[in-house]
Order: sequence, then structure tokens, then C-alpha cells
Amino acid sequence: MSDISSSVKLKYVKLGYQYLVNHFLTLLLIPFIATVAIELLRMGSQEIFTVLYSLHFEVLHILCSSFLIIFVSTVYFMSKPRTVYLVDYSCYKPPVTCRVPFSSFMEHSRLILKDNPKSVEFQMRILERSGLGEETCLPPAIHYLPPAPTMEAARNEAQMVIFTAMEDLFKKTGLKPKDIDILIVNCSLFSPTPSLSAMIINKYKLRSNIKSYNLSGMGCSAGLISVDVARDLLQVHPNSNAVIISTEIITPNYYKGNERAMLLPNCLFRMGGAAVLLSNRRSDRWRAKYKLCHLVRTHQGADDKAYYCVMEEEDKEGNVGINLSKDLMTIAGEALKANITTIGPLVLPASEQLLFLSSLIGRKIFNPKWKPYIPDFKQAFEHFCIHAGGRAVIDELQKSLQLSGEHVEASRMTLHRFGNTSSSSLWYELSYIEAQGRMKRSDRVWQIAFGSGFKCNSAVWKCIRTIKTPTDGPWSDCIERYPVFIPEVVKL
Amino acid sequence: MEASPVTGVRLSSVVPASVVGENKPRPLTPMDLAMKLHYVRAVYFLKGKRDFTVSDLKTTMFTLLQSYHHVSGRIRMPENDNDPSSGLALPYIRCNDSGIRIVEANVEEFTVEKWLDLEDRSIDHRFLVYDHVLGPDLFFSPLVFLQITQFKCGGFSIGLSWTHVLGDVFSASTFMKTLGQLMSGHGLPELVYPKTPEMTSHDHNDEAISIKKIESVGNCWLLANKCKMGRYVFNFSLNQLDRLIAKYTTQDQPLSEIDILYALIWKSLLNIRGETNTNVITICDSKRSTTCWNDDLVISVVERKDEMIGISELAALIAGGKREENGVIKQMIKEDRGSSDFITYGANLTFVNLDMADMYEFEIKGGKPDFVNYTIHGVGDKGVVLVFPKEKSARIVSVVMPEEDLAKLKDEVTNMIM
Repeated sequence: MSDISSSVKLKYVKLGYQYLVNHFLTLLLIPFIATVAIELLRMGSQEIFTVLYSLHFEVLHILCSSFLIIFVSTVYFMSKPRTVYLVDYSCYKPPVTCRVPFSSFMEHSRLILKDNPKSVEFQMRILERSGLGEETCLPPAIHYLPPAPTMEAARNEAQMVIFTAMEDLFKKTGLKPKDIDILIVNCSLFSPTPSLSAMIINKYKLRSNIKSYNLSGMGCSAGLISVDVARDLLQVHPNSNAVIISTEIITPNYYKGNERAMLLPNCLFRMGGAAVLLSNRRSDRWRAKYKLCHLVRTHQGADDKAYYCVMEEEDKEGNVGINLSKDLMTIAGEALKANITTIGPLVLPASEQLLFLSSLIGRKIFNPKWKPYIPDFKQAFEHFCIHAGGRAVIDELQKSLQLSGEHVEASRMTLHRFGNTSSSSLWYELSYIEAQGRMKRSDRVWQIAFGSGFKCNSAVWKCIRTIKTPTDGPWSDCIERYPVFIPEVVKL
Repeated sequence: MEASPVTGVRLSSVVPASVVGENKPRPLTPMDLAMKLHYVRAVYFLKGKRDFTVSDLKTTMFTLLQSYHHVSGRIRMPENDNDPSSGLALPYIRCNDSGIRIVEANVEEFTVEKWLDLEDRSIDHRFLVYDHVLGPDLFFSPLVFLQITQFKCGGFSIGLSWTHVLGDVFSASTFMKTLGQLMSGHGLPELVYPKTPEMTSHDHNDEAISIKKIESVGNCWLLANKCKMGRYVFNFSLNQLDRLIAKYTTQDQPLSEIDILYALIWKSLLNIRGETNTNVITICDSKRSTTCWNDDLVISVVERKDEMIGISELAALIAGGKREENGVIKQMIKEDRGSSDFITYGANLTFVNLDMADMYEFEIKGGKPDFVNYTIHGVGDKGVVLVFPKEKSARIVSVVMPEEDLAKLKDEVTNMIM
């Protein structure tokens, strides 16, 4: 009993401390305002007018002061960065003909790798512990025995994913193709000529003065890099909108060899894509869902270990695959630390920052053995979207940031239903939170993505209107079943 | 035709559109195990251009498999089972949504019409159906293979290879009929799975003579025949059938057409093989005509005593002397506990009554197939005779028999009809 009462006492102490520090200025101002109010009430209206007249305000003084105020406020509003609004987004839902149940994936692996029973065993163990469900999807070309990944099949997959997502976005937002000012496409591993952005411009007959960009090779965090590019462009171009397409085309990248470190992506990567509409127009403010508060990019590429940890290379037989090194989790942890160090001061409330600072000073000056204080990010954000890179990534981040099961639920359920869809997974997770009806006005969302290089990018969005539970979207037919319990090991 | 005219073979898998199997086990009953080494094979021909494509067929299969959980499953043997708590000693099907295998192929030299004009109907089953067998890797062997072959004219054939543990010819044809209905835009029917039959104990101490016990085939569920088997399709015209009935029926002894056909072929084989080898025949009937599970099969035997030798007498014997052996079969298989295997078709000369099955019920958007050819694969050395329903101009009787017997059978039957 004493344990419970002491922990309850501690909780109240913490709450008191947080309230005190975070509202410090307000608390300071209250006695000051109270004094002034009492004085004014005591003086009475006649005395107030006398005091005012005695200050000898001349017309010139009043005019200059007002001009000064107007001038300062104009400079302030002009130099303020334009707010970037996220009007709406749509996530691609693959057709049922692309479904890959566990047993079917294992059967195909077994038949393709029939000369390597050890590799098949390895894949089986990965799949059992992967956290993926029975409804993830692979593109049609991969359903053949052996897979038939031609360039035409890859283009078909790109068209299927991108055009469906874009049409859904047009329907949701009422956007007309001719009104798109900026188009950014990110797809890491498939980069044909002409580019995917050119493919979209051709299909929808977009304007000839469109600003189009195609980012390739930037890994799973490229979605947030695209948002960063869009944000910078929207500062320079007033009254514009930007469409971002984040996807990963699986067809040409299915690893056909049997090197174990390279088989892992086959087990985790699945079809998916998202289309996002950003805008800096004041008129969009009323229908936009979110506004972008911060976007922080950190790159660990200067460190060799980080650079080599996710490497696309050929195996001994000449098959191209992505080699994931064994210290991937350690490097992800360090990249996260670097990112948090930058984003912490921008988003954490004063109470946490003070605690962190005092713990830092304490460790440096008094005792290096003190445990480093990990700021409580749950106070800065209501929702977390952690890139669904794999079960290990989500577990690692849950531990480092001390998040509860509910905070990482969006990531785990996205991994279960859609697999690792690379850069678009953050949008599926956001869609999950909306579909569960948890997104309220002024909720803040933190999206964290990791990518090859090694990069850690994060974005902070603030919800500007309470979102009604959507009736369409990728989760519409299955949200009642979620959240599901995902066992540690699934027996095949 | 010796060399295969089929080119461009591509294999892929089709799974149920949503999670349906949930990894549940479906036990195989003793009747299923009596049929375990047999495969139903069918080829449906559709001439000319149609208003649907191969990918439409594939897409519809995803929806169809949502109803057929057990068809999408895989065999599990009790020894290498990962889940010891399932408590089953016989093999079973784990409904794990693995799906069926689809084969896409082309035949460039023939149009459907030219193909059907060729004399030898065994080419249908040699080339247009994938040579599917369960095993040696039972864990990952599909239970159904579907081959879609495109011909020069734009028409195509659908070749189905259906493991008999899933059900008999009726269940296979219902599967195809449901596919046709889905393609034509009708809804998905609910498949009613049979309740587990009660394990009634019979006081039979006799052995069943309709099935034959053979050595366990291990992990490859295929029967090894001592001689090469051939296939032939007899086309009895309506005139010939009328003459037969007239010849062998008498006023006081009305006989059905089917019994007369059975007797005709039995008599021919008596002449070919001699009397000692062909004293017993097996007759397979089914209690229902749609979605027939192996437990709905009625397997009977007819034993001939030495005196009866004429077709009328044989037909009368068949009509009156059938002895049902289902109970004995189940007893025999249960007592065996999986140590050996059994065959039904071909253990004796076997006749399968398919009179109630309408193969031409398969219909896509109003278009019926131009020809349907059903057979059984994995038949014992005594052979199997499938009797199909009477159509507008003929009745088809499909025969699977050792090749040397087949040649003589053709002559015998021709003589008897004259």
C-alpha cells in the first residue's frame, strides 16, 4: 500500500512541477495584473482620465507610435514562414488479387529456393516473428513461380499504385489536375526514364510550368524529405499547392538469390503508396486537416558504420539485393538520439527541457554515473507514427522513448495489415489513428522515419480540425477487427 | 501427337480474397482416405472469342476460394505436425489459405475446333491438364491445379486437376459451375460443409472387396500401375442405345439403360480377360448430385457366379444383386490406422454412375462450353468406366483401362452393338 501511495504522491509532485514550470510566465503575470486591476478600481474613472491627460500625448506622438506598431507587425508577418497545411491525403489499398497469406509466401519461397533448405528455414523463422498479418500484398508479377519482374511489370505496378492513389486524392479534395503547382514523387528503388513524375504529368495532362521533382535512392525516410522539399518550395511560391507521392515499387527488387542477410527485405517489404496534398493558401486553412509545425532531418552518413549498414549490392551469384548489417538497431538508436537532440528543444515543454538540462549539467559537473534523463515525449505529442520498418524497429523505439502500447499501436497494426510499405507507411499509420476516431483538434502528431544512409527524419503536425471517422480509406473494411493481438511467434 | 504442343507455361498461385481458413484443421474421413490416390481431371473447351479474359477468370477465382476453405488448404500428416494438440491420427487438411495453382499456357498450332476434330481424345488429358500429384513435399502441394490454355482462335480450355480427397466428380463439377456463376455476376453461394459422420460401429468382420489394400505410398500420393493406362471415349448414339435396350430388355424384366451399358462392358471384358479375373465389379453411385463429398458416395459390389454369362443376365444381376460396402470399407480403413493405403477405382473393374451430373451446367455469361471431358487419374489396373448423362445426340462413356485391354475392348464393344 505504501508503494502505491508513494507513487501516487510522486505523480502529483510531478504534475505540480510540470504545471508550475510550463505556465511560469502566466503565473508570474497573475499577481501583476491583479495589482494593476485593484489600483485601477481604487482610482475610479475620473482619476484615470486625469493621469492619462497628464501624460501629454500629442497627435504626432500618437501617429508615430501607431505607425511604428503597424511597421513592426508588418515586418513580423512578412518574415514569418508561410504555414504549410496538409489538406488531405490518400493511401493506396491493393486489390485482393495481390494478397499474400503467410503460407503462400512460404510455399513460393520453398519452391524458388528449393536448393537451399537452410535459406527457406531462415525465411520461415523471420516470417513467424515479423509481425506481418495474412492480408499484406505483393504486386502481380511476384505471384508467378518463378517471379517475372520485367520492366513493364514494374511500370504497371507503378501506374496501378500511383494513379489509384492520385484519383482518390482528387476525389477527396476536389483538386483538379491542372491546378497542381508542385509535384514531388519519391520512390527509392525504381527510377525509370522518363521519371515517375513525368509519367504522372503525362497521364493527367498537368501544366507545362509545373515544378516537378523525382527523388530516388533515398530509402524509407524519403517521404519526409519530400515534405521538406515541398515546404521549402511553398515558402518561395505564394498561393500554391504541392502534391507528394510516396511509394516503393516492389516488382524489380525482389531478391532472387539465397544470401540470408538479403532475404530479409523480401519478407517485410510490401506494396503500398500514398498521395498527399499540401498547400500554403489561406483559403485552404478551413478545410485542411493538419498544419506542419516542425521538420527535422539528421544524417549519420559521415560515420562509416552508419553509411554501410543498409547497402544494395550483388551477392556471389550476381543477384542484386539489399544487405542489412547486424548493427542496424544500434545505428538506428544513435540516429534517433541525434534527431531527438535537435527536435527536443523545439517541441518539449519547459518542464522537460529544464529537467533534461539539469540532468545534463549534473552528469557533467557532479557525477557522470547519473542515469541520463530521457525527456518524456508523451507530453509533447498525443500521437506517434513510427515508420513500420519491422517489429524490431518499433520495439526499439518503444523502449527508447518509453512509449506505451497504445502509442505504438498505429505502427504495429500498420505493419500487420500492410507490411513495410517503406516511405508511405507513415501515412497508413496516420490513417489508422483517424479511422479509430482518436484524432482531435489541436492534437500533435510526431512522424519518425528511418532510411538508408543512415538518416532519421521526423515531422511534427498539428491537427487543426477534429476529424470525423472516415468512411473510406485503406482501413475502412477492416478497422473493426483492429487492434489485433500479434503473437510473438506465429506458427505456420 | 507425341510432342507437347503447349508453350509459354507460367505458374502462379491464387488465394482466397480474405482470411477464411484461419488455419483450422479439417479431418479426412475414412471414405476420403479410400479415395486418396485418385484425382478427378476435367477439360472444358470454349471455342471462339469470348467477352472475358484469362485475368478475369483469375480474379474471379479469388472470390470463389472464399467459399472453398478446404480447397485452399494443404495436407498435413500427423507425424510431422507442428501442433501436437490437434489429436488426430489420420492425415488432415489444414485450411491455411495457401490457395490453388494456376497454369497459363498457349497452344499456337491449333484452334479449339481443330483440336476437337482430332481422333484421339486422350490428348486432352495429356496436354491440357497439368500433371498434378500430391507430394513428395505434401506440406506445400496444392490440392487443385487449374490450367488455362489459349488457342490460336482466341478460344481456350480450362483443365482442372482435383484431388479426390476433396470430393468426387460431382463436387469438381459444382466447383466449376460456381466459377461460371461468379463470372456471370451472380453472388457467391455458401458452401455447406458436411457434418462429421457418426462413427457407427458395424459388426462386420468381413473384408471389403470393393477396395484393395496396397502398400503405403509414403509422401507421394500416386498409384504405380503395373501396365500403361490408356483412355478412350465411347460415343453411343441414341439409335444404338435404343437398339441395345430393345435387344436385352424383356417384358417381364425391364432394365435401365445404365445397367445394360454396365453389363455390355462387363461382358466384353469377361471375353478379353477371361472369367476368373473379372468376377467382381464395383459400382459407385452418389446420394446427391451436387457438392458430393466422399461420404456421400455409395460403393457397392456385384459378384458373379459362374453361370451368368449373357448381357441380360448380367444386367439383371447388377439391378438386383448390389451389395453396399460403405460400412465395411470404413471399418477396414479405421482399423488400419494409416499404416497402408487403399484404392477404390480400379481395384476391381469399377463403374461410376455420373448420370445425374450435368457437366454442361458450367456457363459463363450465357455461354456454355463446347465440349467437356472428365476422367480419373491414378486408377488401378482393373480400370474404370465413367457413364455420363445422355445428351441431345449421344451418351458418352469414358474408359480408363490398360492399353492392351483398351484396344480389344473397342473391337468387342463395336461387335456387340452391331
